[in-house]
Amino acid sequence: MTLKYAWFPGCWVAYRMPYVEKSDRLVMERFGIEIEEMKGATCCPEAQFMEAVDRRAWLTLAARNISIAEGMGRDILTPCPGCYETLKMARGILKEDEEMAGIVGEALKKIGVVYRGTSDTTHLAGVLYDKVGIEAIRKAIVRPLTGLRVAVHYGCHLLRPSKYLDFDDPTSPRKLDELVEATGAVSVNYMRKTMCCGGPAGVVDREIGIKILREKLYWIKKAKVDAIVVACPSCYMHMDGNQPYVEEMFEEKYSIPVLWYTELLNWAMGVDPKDLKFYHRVRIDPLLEKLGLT
Amino acid sequence: MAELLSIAKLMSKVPEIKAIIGDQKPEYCYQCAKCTSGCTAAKVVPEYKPHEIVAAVKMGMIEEIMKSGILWACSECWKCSEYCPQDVAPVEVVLALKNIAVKMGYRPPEALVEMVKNAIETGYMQGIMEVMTNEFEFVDRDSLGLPKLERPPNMEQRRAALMRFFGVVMK
Repeated sequence: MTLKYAWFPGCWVAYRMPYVEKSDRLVMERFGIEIEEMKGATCCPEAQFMEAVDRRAWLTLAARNISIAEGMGRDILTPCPGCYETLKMARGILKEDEEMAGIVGEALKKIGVVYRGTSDTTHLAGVLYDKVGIEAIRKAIVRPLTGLRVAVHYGCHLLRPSKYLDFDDPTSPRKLDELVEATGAVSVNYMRKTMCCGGPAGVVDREIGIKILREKLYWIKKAKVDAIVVACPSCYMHMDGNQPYVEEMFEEKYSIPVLWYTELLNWAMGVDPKDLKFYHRVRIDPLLEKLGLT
Repeated sequence: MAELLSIAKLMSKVPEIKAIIGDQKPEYCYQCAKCTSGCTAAKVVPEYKPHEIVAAVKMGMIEEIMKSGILWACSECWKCSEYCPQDVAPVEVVLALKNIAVKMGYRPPEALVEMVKNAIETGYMQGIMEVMTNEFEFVDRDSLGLPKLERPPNMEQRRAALMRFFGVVMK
Protein backbone atom coordinates (compact mmCIF):
# COMPACT_ATOMS: atom_id res chain seq x y z
CA MET A 1 0.00 0.00 0.00
CA THR A 2 1.44 3.34 -0.99
CA LEU A 3 0.30 6.41 0.84
CA LYS A 4 0.45 9.44 -1.45
CA TYR A 5 -0.83 12.85 -0.48
CA ALA A 6 -0.83 16.50 -1.48
CA TRP A 7 1.14 18.28 1.29
CA PHE A 8 -0.41 21.34 2.93
CA PRO A 9 1.89 22.61 5.72
CA GLY A 10 -0.12 25.79 6.39
CA CYS A 11 1.41 29.19 7.26
CA TRP A 12 2.40 28.47 10.86
CA VAL A 13 4.31 25.28 10.20
CA ALA A 14 5.76 26.40 6.85
CA TYR A 15 7.18 29.72 7.97
CA ARG A 16 7.11 30.05 11.75
CA MET A 17 7.83 26.46 12.80
CA PRO A 18 9.75 24.85 9.91
CA TYR A 19 11.34 22.45 12.45
CA VAL A 20 7.90 20.88 12.88
CA GLU A 21 7.76 20.16 9.14
CA LYS A 22 11.27 18.71 9.26
CA SER A 23 10.29 16.43 12.15
CA ASP A 24 7.05 15.36 10.43
CA ARG A 25 8.87 14.66 7.17
CA LEU A 26 11.38 12.39 8.93
CA VAL A 27 8.49 10.34 10.30
CA MET A 28 6.72 10.26 6.93
CA GLU A 29 9.89 9.05 5.19
CA ARG A 30 10.33 6.39 7.85
CA PHE A 31 6.83 4.98 7.24
CA GLY A 32 6.65 5.40 3.46
CA ILE A 33 4.17 8.26 3.33
CA GLU A 34 4.80 10.08 0.03
CA ILE A 35 3.99 13.77 -0.23
CA GLU A 36 4.08 16.38 -2.96
CA GLU A 37 3.86 20.16 -2.47
CA MET A 38 0.70 21.99 -3.53
CA LYS A 39 1.83 24.72 -5.93
CA GLY A 40 0.33 28.15 -5.20
CA ALA A 41 -1.45 27.12 -1.98
CA THR A 42 -2.26 29.93 0.44
CA CYS A 43 -3.39 30.17 4.06
CA CYS A 44 -6.18 27.58 4.52
CA PRO A 45 -7.59 30.17 5.84
CA GLU A 46 -7.86 29.88 9.61
CA ALA A 47 -11.52 29.63 10.66
CA GLN A 48 -11.21 31.54 13.97
CA PHE A 49 -10.32 34.64 12.02
CA MET A 50 -11.64 34.34 8.48
CA GLU A 51 -14.86 32.40 9.09
CA ALA A 52 -15.71 34.81 11.91
CA VAL A 53 -15.35 37.83 9.64
CA ASP A 54 -16.83 36.45 6.41
CA ARG A 55 -17.94 32.87 5.96
CA ARG A 56 -18.15 33.20 2.16
CA ALA A 57 -14.52 34.35 1.84
CA TRP A 58 -13.41 31.58 4.21
CA LEU A 59 -15.07 28.90 2.07
CA THR A 60 -13.90 30.45 -1.21
CA LEU A 61 -10.23 30.47 -0.18
CA ALA A 62 -10.50 26.95 1.25
CA ALA A 63 -12.14 25.65 -1.94
CA ARG A 64 -9.36 27.23 -4.01
CA ASN A 65 -6.75 25.39 -1.96
CA ILE A 66 -8.65 22.10 -2.25
CA SER A 67 -8.87 22.55 -6.03
CA ILE A 68 -5.05 22.43 -6.23
CA ALA A 69 -5.06 18.94 -4.71
CA GLU A 70 -7.89 17.95 -7.05
CA GLY A 71 -5.62 18.86 -9.97
CA MET A 72 -2.99 16.51 -8.51
CA GLY A 73 -5.57 13.73 -8.08
CA ARG A 74 -4.70 13.37 -4.40
CA ASP A 75 -6.19 13.83 -0.94
CA ILE A 76 -4.64 16.51 1.27
CA LEU A 77 -2.34 15.78 4.22
CA THR A 78 -1.59 18.50 6.76
CA PRO A 79 0.37 18.72 10.04
CA CYS A 80 -1.98 21.45 11.33
CA PRO A 81 -5.38 20.89 12.98
CA GLY A 82 -6.47 24.41 11.96
CA CYS A 83 -5.88 23.62 8.28
CA TYR A 84 -7.46 20.18 8.77
CA GLU A 85 -10.55 21.78 10.29
CA THR A 86 -10.93 24.43 7.59
CA LEU A 87 -10.31 22.23 4.56
CA LYS A 88 -12.38 19.29 5.78
CA MET A 89 -15.24 21.47 7.03
CA ALA A 90 -15.30 23.52 3.83
CA ARG A 91 -15.70 20.39 1.73
CA GLY A 92 -18.50 19.16 4.02
CA ILE A 93 -20.34 22.48 3.98
CA LEU A 94 -20.06 22.93 0.20
CA LYS A 95 -21.44 19.43 -0.29
CA GLU A 96 -24.60 20.12 1.74
CA ASP A 97 -25.23 23.86 1.11
CA GLU A 98 -26.08 24.46 -2.55
CA GLU A 99 -26.63 28.19 -2.14
CA MET A 100 -23.17 28.65 -0.61
CA ALA A 101 -21.61 26.37 -3.23
CA GLY A 102 -23.08 28.69 -5.86
CA ILE A 103 -21.58 31.82 -4.25
CA VAL A 104 -18.17 30.16 -3.92
CA GLY A 105 -18.27 28.81 -7.48
CA GLU A 106 -19.08 32.31 -8.80
CA ALA A 107 -16.12 33.88 -6.93
CA LEU A 108 -13.73 31.15 -8.06
CA LYS A 109 -14.81 31.56 -11.68
CA LYS A 110 -13.34 35.09 -11.60
CA ILE A 111 -9.87 33.64 -10.99
CA GLY A 112 -10.36 30.74 -13.40
CA VAL A 113 -10.67 28.03 -10.75
CA VAL A 114 -13.14 25.14 -10.73
CA TYR A 115 -13.88 23.37 -7.43
CA ARG A 116 -15.23 19.82 -7.58
CA GLY A 117 -14.97 18.61 -3.99
CA THR A 118 -13.10 15.41 -4.86
CA SER A 119 -10.14 15.77 -2.47
CA ASP A 120 -10.55 14.97 1.24
CA THR A 121 -8.22 16.23 4.01
CA THR A 122 -6.45 14.29 6.78
CA HIS A 123 -4.16 15.28 9.67
CA LEU A 124 -0.84 13.43 9.81
CA ALA A 125 -1.68 11.95 13.23
CA GLY A 126 -4.74 10.34 11.60
CA VAL A 127 -2.66 8.74 8.84
CA LEU A 128 -0.10 7.50 11.38
CA TYR A 129 -2.79 5.93 13.55
CA ASP A 130 -5.25 4.66 10.91
CA LYS A 131 -2.97 3.79 7.97
CA VAL A 132 0.52 3.12 9.37
CA GLY A 133 -0.80 1.66 12.62
CA ILE A 134 0.44 1.53 16.21
CA GLU A 135 2.07 -1.90 15.69
CA ALA A 136 4.34 -0.67 12.88
CA ILE A 137 5.28 2.39 14.91
CA ARG A 138 6.05 0.31 17.99
CA LYS A 139 8.34 -1.91 15.86
CA ALA A 140 10.30 1.18 14.75
CA ILE A 141 11.12 2.24 18.30
CA VAL A 142 14.81 1.67 19.12
CA ARG A 143 15.05 3.89 22.19
CA PRO A 144 11.90 3.57 24.33
CA LEU A 145 11.14 6.66 26.41
CA THR A 146 10.51 4.58 29.51
CA GLY A 147 9.60 6.53 32.60
CA LEU A 148 8.43 9.62 30.71
CA ARG A 149 5.06 10.91 31.94
CA VAL A 150 3.24 13.24 29.55
CA ALA A 151 -0.01 15.18 29.35
CA VAL A 152 -1.43 14.81 25.85
CA HIS A 153 -3.26 17.94 24.66
CA TYR A 154 -5.38 17.34 21.55
CA GLY A 155 -6.33 20.92 20.80
CA CYS A 156 -9.83 21.69 19.59
CA HIS A 157 -9.79 21.41 15.85
CA LEU A 158 -8.35 17.97 15.51
CA LEU A 159 -11.62 16.85 17.14
CA ARG A 160 -14.41 19.36 16.73
CA PRO A 161 -16.91 19.93 15.15
CA SER A 162 -17.45 16.16 14.83
CA LYS A 163 -20.31 16.93 12.44
CA TYR A 164 -17.55 17.42 9.84
CA LEU A 165 -14.33 16.03 11.39
CA ASP A 166 -13.67 12.35 12.01
CA PHE A 167 -10.19 12.11 13.56
CA ASP A 168 -11.42 10.66 16.87
CA ASP A 169 -14.16 10.89 19.51
CA PRO A 170 -14.73 14.64 20.03
CA THR A 171 -14.82 14.56 23.83
CA SER A 172 -12.97 11.32 24.81
CA PRO A 173 -10.23 10.87 22.21
CA ARG A 174 -7.55 8.14 22.41
CA LYS A 175 -5.56 8.10 19.16
CA LEU A 176 -2.92 10.71 20.03
CA ASP A 177 -2.46 9.08 23.47
CA GLU A 178 -1.79 5.73 21.79
CA LEU A 179 0.67 7.26 19.31
CA VAL A 180 2.56 8.83 22.21
CA GLU A 181 2.45 5.62 24.28
CA ALA A 182 3.95 3.69 21.36
CA THR A 183 7.22 5.44 22.28
CA GLY A 184 7.16 3.86 25.74
CA ALA A 185 6.01 7.06 27.45
CA VAL A 186 2.94 7.10 29.68
CA SER A 187 0.02 9.40 28.86
CA VAL A 188 -1.40 10.63 32.16
CA ASN A 189 -5.05 11.60 32.38
CA TYR A 190 -5.90 15.06 33.69
CA MET A 191 -8.85 17.41 34.22
CA ARG A 192 -9.77 19.72 31.30
CA LYS A 193 -7.95 17.42 28.87
CA THR A 194 -10.05 18.34 25.83
CA MET A 195 -10.36 21.99 26.82
CA CYS A 196 -8.99 24.68 24.50
CA CYS A 197 -5.47 26.02 25.30
CA GLY A 198 -6.61 29.62 24.80
CA GLY A 199 -4.42 30.37 21.79
CA PRO A 200 -7.08 31.76 19.43
CA ALA A 201 -8.78 33.68 22.24
CA GLY A 202 -5.41 35.20 23.09
CA VAL A 203 -5.06 36.65 19.61
CA VAL A 204 -8.25 38.66 20.17
CA ASP A 205 -7.68 39.43 23.87
CA ARG A 206 -4.31 38.55 25.35
CA GLU A 207 -5.54 38.43 28.94
CA ILE A 208 -8.30 35.90 28.14
CA GLY A 209 -5.76 33.70 26.33
CA ILE A 210 -3.40 33.72 29.31
CA LYS A 211 -6.22 32.97 31.78
CA ILE A 212 -7.44 30.00 29.75
CA LEU A 213 -3.88 28.67 29.51
CA ARG A 214 -3.52 28.94 33.29
CA GLU A 215 -6.65 26.81 33.70
CA LYS A 216 -5.00 24.10 31.57
CA LEU A 217 -1.57 24.34 33.21
CA TYR A 218 -3.08 24.24 36.70
CA TRP A 219 -4.59 20.79 36.09
CA ILE A 220 -1.65 19.51 34.05
CA LYS A 221 0.72 20.36 36.92
CA LYS A 222 -1.51 18.43 39.34
CA ALA A 223 -1.06 15.34 37.12
CA LYS A 224 2.71 15.47 37.84
CA VAL A 225 3.95 15.09 34.26
CA ASP A 226 7.36 15.71 32.69
CA ALA A 227 5.96 17.35 29.55
CA ILE A 228 2.93 18.34 27.50
CA VAL A 229 2.59 16.78 24.04
CA VAL A 230 0.70 18.58 21.27
CA ALA A 231 -0.20 18.05 17.60
CA CYS A 232 -1.17 21.66 16.81
CA PRO A 233 1.25 24.50 15.94
CA SER A 234 -1.02 27.12 17.49
CA CYS A 235 -1.27 25.17 20.78
CA TYR A 236 2.51 24.65 20.70
CA MET A 237 3.23 28.36 20.33
CA HIS A 238 0.71 29.40 22.97
CA MET A 239 1.40 26.70 25.60
CA ASP A 240 5.17 26.93 25.26
CA GLY A 241 5.70 30.59 24.44
CA ASN A 242 3.19 32.09 26.88
CA GLN A 243 3.93 29.99 29.99
CA PRO A 244 6.21 32.71 31.41
CA TYR A 245 3.32 35.21 31.18
CA VAL A 246 1.00 32.85 33.07
CA GLU A 247 3.66 32.50 35.74
CA GLU A 248 3.97 36.27 35.94
CA MET A 249 0.24 37.03 36.02
CA PHE A 250 -0.65 34.37 38.59
CA GLU A 251 2.64 34.26 40.50
CA GLU A 252 2.80 30.50 40.08
CA LYS A 253 5.56 28.23 38.80
CA TYR A 254 4.94 25.89 35.86
CA SER A 255 7.88 25.51 33.41
CA ILE A 256 6.40 22.38 31.84
CA PRO A 257 8.14 21.57 28.52
CA VAL A 258 5.88 21.41 25.45
CA LEU A 259 6.80 18.80 22.84
CA TRP A 260 5.60 18.12 19.31
CA TYR A 261 4.27 14.54 19.00
CA THR A 262 6.53 13.57 16.07
CA GLU A 263 9.47 15.10 17.93
CA LEU A 264 8.85 12.48 20.61
CA LEU A 265 8.45 9.72 17.98
CA ASN A 266 11.74 10.78 16.38
CA TRP A 267 13.58 10.67 19.73
CA ALA A 268 12.28 7.16 20.29
CA MET A 269 13.24 6.13 16.75
CA GLY A 270 16.84 7.14 17.40
CA VAL A 271 17.04 10.70 16.03
CA ASP A 272 19.31 13.07 17.99
CA PRO A 273 17.06 15.76 19.54
CA LYS A 274 19.57 18.47 18.57
CA ASP A 275 19.32 17.52 14.87
CA LEU A 276 15.61 18.38 14.88
CA LYS A 277 16.44 22.08 15.49
CA PHE A 278 13.37 22.81 17.59
CA TYR A 279 12.84 25.95 19.59
CA HIS A 280 11.41 25.42 23.08
CA ARG A 281 10.83 28.50 25.19
CA VAL A 282 10.47 26.24 28.23
CA ARG A 283 13.86 24.55 28.22
CA ILE A 284 13.87 20.81 27.61
CA ASP A 285 17.48 20.12 28.73
CA PRO A 286 16.50 18.69 32.15
CA LEU A 287 14.04 16.38 30.40
CA LEU A 288 16.63 15.18 27.88
CA GLU A 289 19.05 14.58 30.72
CA LYS A 290 16.48 12.48 32.56
CA LEU A 291 15.96 10.41 29.40
CA GLY A 292 19.69 10.10 28.78
CA LEU A 293 19.40 11.87 25.43
CA THR A 294 21.97 14.64 25.89
CA MET B 1 -36.82 51.86 23.52
CA ALA B 2 -34.71 50.60 20.66
CA GLU B 3 -36.44 48.44 18.07
CA LEU B 4 -35.77 44.73 18.63
CA LEU B 5 -34.05 42.96 15.76
CA SER B 6 -35.00 39.37 15.01
CA ILE B 7 -33.18 37.18 12.48
CA ALA B 8 -36.24 37.56 10.20
CA LYS B 9 -35.99 41.37 10.39
CA LEU B 10 -32.25 41.18 9.76
CA MET B 11 -32.85 39.27 6.56
CA SER B 12 -34.80 42.15 5.12
CA LYS B 13 -32.10 44.60 6.29
CA VAL B 14 -29.10 42.63 4.99
CA PRO B 15 -30.44 40.38 2.22
CA GLU B 16 -27.33 38.20 1.78
CA ILE B 17 -27.43 37.12 5.42
CA LYS B 18 -29.23 33.81 5.00
CA ALA B 19 -26.54 32.56 2.64
CA ILE B 20 -23.75 33.80 4.89
CA ILE B 21 -24.91 32.30 8.18
CA GLY B 22 -26.37 29.02 6.92
CA ASP B 23 -29.07 27.17 8.81
CA GLN B 24 -29.65 28.54 12.32
CA LYS B 25 -32.25 27.27 14.76
CA PRO B 26 -31.87 29.16 18.05
CA GLU B 27 -35.60 28.65 18.70
CA TYR B 28 -34.93 24.95 19.52
CA CYS B 29 -32.96 25.96 22.64
CA TYR B 30 -34.67 25.17 25.98
CA GLN B 31 -31.97 26.78 28.15
CA CYS B 32 -30.43 23.65 29.71
CA ALA B 33 -27.08 25.56 29.79
CA LYS B 34 -25.06 22.44 28.98
CA CYS B 35 -23.17 24.62 26.48
CA THR B 36 -22.16 27.11 29.17
CA SER B 37 -21.09 24.33 31.57
CA GLY B 38 -18.50 23.13 29.04
CA CYS B 39 -17.60 26.52 27.56
CA THR B 40 -13.90 27.44 27.52
CA ALA B 41 -14.50 31.20 27.46
CA ALA B 42 -17.09 31.05 30.27
CA LYS B 43 -14.44 29.60 32.61
CA VAL B 44 -12.45 32.83 32.53
CA VAL B 45 -14.98 35.43 31.26
CA PRO B 46 -17.94 34.97 33.64
CA GLU B 47 -20.21 37.34 31.69
CA TYR B 48 -19.87 35.18 28.57
CA LYS B 49 -22.67 32.57 28.63
CA PRO B 50 -23.56 30.90 25.31
CA HIS B 51 -27.07 29.88 26.47
CA GLU B 52 -27.83 33.50 27.35
CA ILE B 53 -26.64 34.68 23.95
CA VAL B 54 -29.00 32.19 22.29
CA ALA B 55 -31.83 33.38 24.59
CA ALA B 56 -31.13 36.99 23.67
CA VAL B 57 -31.22 36.11 19.97
CA LYS B 58 -34.63 34.45 20.47
CA MET B 59 -35.85 37.66 22.12
CA GLY B 60 -34.63 39.76 19.18
CA MET B 61 -31.86 41.51 21.09
CA ILE B 62 -29.33 40.99 18.34
CA GLU B 63 -28.04 44.55 18.10
CA GLU B 64 -27.53 44.74 21.86
CA ILE B 65 -25.31 41.63 21.71
CA MET B 66 -23.30 43.07 18.85
CA LYS B 67 -22.81 46.40 20.57
CA SER B 68 -21.54 44.72 23.74
CA GLY B 69 -18.62 43.12 21.88
CA ILE B 70 -19.02 39.96 24.01
CA LEU B 71 -19.19 37.76 20.89
CA TRP B 72 -15.44 38.01 20.40
CA ALA B 73 -14.76 36.22 23.71
CA CYS B 74 -15.77 32.90 22.08
CA SER B 75 -12.59 30.90 21.40
CA GLU B 76 -14.36 28.67 18.88
CA CYS B 77 -13.41 25.43 20.61
CA TRP B 78 -16.73 23.95 19.39
CA LYS B 79 -17.39 22.10 22.66
CA CYS B 80 -20.93 23.52 22.87
CA SER B 81 -21.76 22.00 19.50
CA GLU B 82 -20.88 18.56 20.87
CA TYR B 83 -22.82 18.99 24.13
CA CYS B 84 -26.02 20.64 22.80
CA PRO B 85 -28.93 18.15 23.01
CA GLN B 86 -31.03 20.29 20.67
CA ASP B 87 -28.65 20.68 17.72
CA VAL B 88 -28.53 24.46 18.25
CA ALA B 89 -24.73 24.63 18.57
CA PRO B 90 -24.35 28.11 20.14
CA VAL B 91 -20.95 28.54 18.46
CA GLU B 92 -22.74 28.55 15.10
CA VAL B 93 -25.14 31.22 16.34
CA VAL B 94 -22.16 33.24 17.61
CA LEU B 95 -20.31 32.81 14.30
CA ALA B 96 -23.42 33.94 12.44
CA LEU B 97 -23.70 37.01 14.69
CA LYS B 98 -20.02 37.84 14.16
CA ASN B 99 -20.56 37.73 10.39
CA ILE B 100 -23.71 39.85 10.64
CA ALA B 101 -22.02 42.36 12.95
CA VAL B 102 -19.21 42.86 10.43
CA LYS B 103 -21.74 43.33 7.59
CA MET B 104 -23.57 45.92 9.68
CA GLY B 105 -20.39 47.88 10.18
CA TYR B 106 -19.22 46.78 13.65
CA ARG B 107 -15.44 46.55 13.39
CA PRO B 108 -13.94 43.22 14.51
CA PRO B 109 -10.89 43.20 16.85
CA GLU B 110 -7.85 44.75 15.16
CA ALA B 111 -5.82 41.52 15.19
CA LEU B 112 -8.48 39.91 13.00
CA VAL B 113 -8.63 42.82 10.57
CA GLU B 114 -4.84 42.60 10.28
CA MET B 115 -4.98 38.87 9.46
CA VAL B 116 -7.70 39.30 6.89
CA LYS B 117 -5.62 42.04 5.24
CA ASN B 118 -2.54 39.78 5.23
CA ALA B 119 -4.53 36.96 3.64
CA ILE B 120 -5.78 39.23 0.87
CA GLU B 121 -2.44 40.98 0.23
CA THR B 122 0.02 38.09 0.57
CA GLY B 123 -2.07 34.93 0.60
CA TYR B 124 -0.94 34.16 4.16
CA MET B 125 -2.47 35.24 7.46
CA GLN B 126 0.78 34.96 9.36
CA GLY B 127 3.85 36.84 8.28
CA ILE B 128 7.14 35.04 7.69
CA MET B 129 9.19 35.14 10.90
CA GLU B 130 12.84 34.70 11.70
CA VAL B 131 13.14 31.39 13.54
CA MET B 132 15.83 30.65 16.13
CA THR B 133 16.60 27.26 17.66
CA ASN B 134 17.58 26.56 21.28
CA GLU B 135 21.21 26.53 20.10
CA PHE B 136 20.79 30.19 18.97
CA GLU B 137 20.98 29.18 15.33
CA PHE B 138 18.76 30.96 12.77
CA VAL B 139 16.90 28.47 10.59
CA ASP B 140 14.50 28.70 7.67
CA ARG B 141 12.98 26.28 5.15
CA ASP B 142 16.09 26.41 3.02
CA SER B 143 18.60 25.69 5.79
CA LEU B 144 16.44 22.83 7.10
CA GLY B 145 16.36 21.24 3.64
CA LEU B 146 12.64 21.86 3.11
CA PRO B 147 11.38 22.54 -0.42
CA LYS B 148 10.61 26.11 -1.47
CA LEU B 149 6.90 26.90 -1.54
CA GLU B 150 5.45 28.46 -4.67
CA ARG B 151 3.37 31.60 -4.14
CA PRO B 152 -0.12 31.74 -5.65
CA PRO B 153 -0.55 33.06 -9.20
CA ASN B 154 -2.80 35.98 -10.24
CA MET B 155 -2.78 37.77 -6.86
CA GLU B 156 -4.42 40.88 -8.39
CA GLN B 157 -7.43 38.96 -9.64
CA ARG B 158 -7.66 37.10 -6.36
CA ARG B 159 -7.71 40.34 -4.44
CA ALA B 160 -10.54 41.68 -6.62
CA ALA B 161 -12.57 38.48 -6.20
CA LEU B 162 -12.21 38.68 -2.41
CA MET B 163 -12.71 42.40 -1.89
CA ARG B 164 -16.40 42.21 -2.73
CA PHE B 165 -16.90 40.19 0.47
CA PHE B 166 -14.92 42.60 2.62
CA GLY B 167 -16.06 46.09 1.71
CA VAL B 168 -16.91 47.21 5.24
CA VAL B 169 -14.03 45.63 7.15
CA MET B 170 -11.26 46.98 5.03
CA LYS B 171 -12.37 50.62 5.10
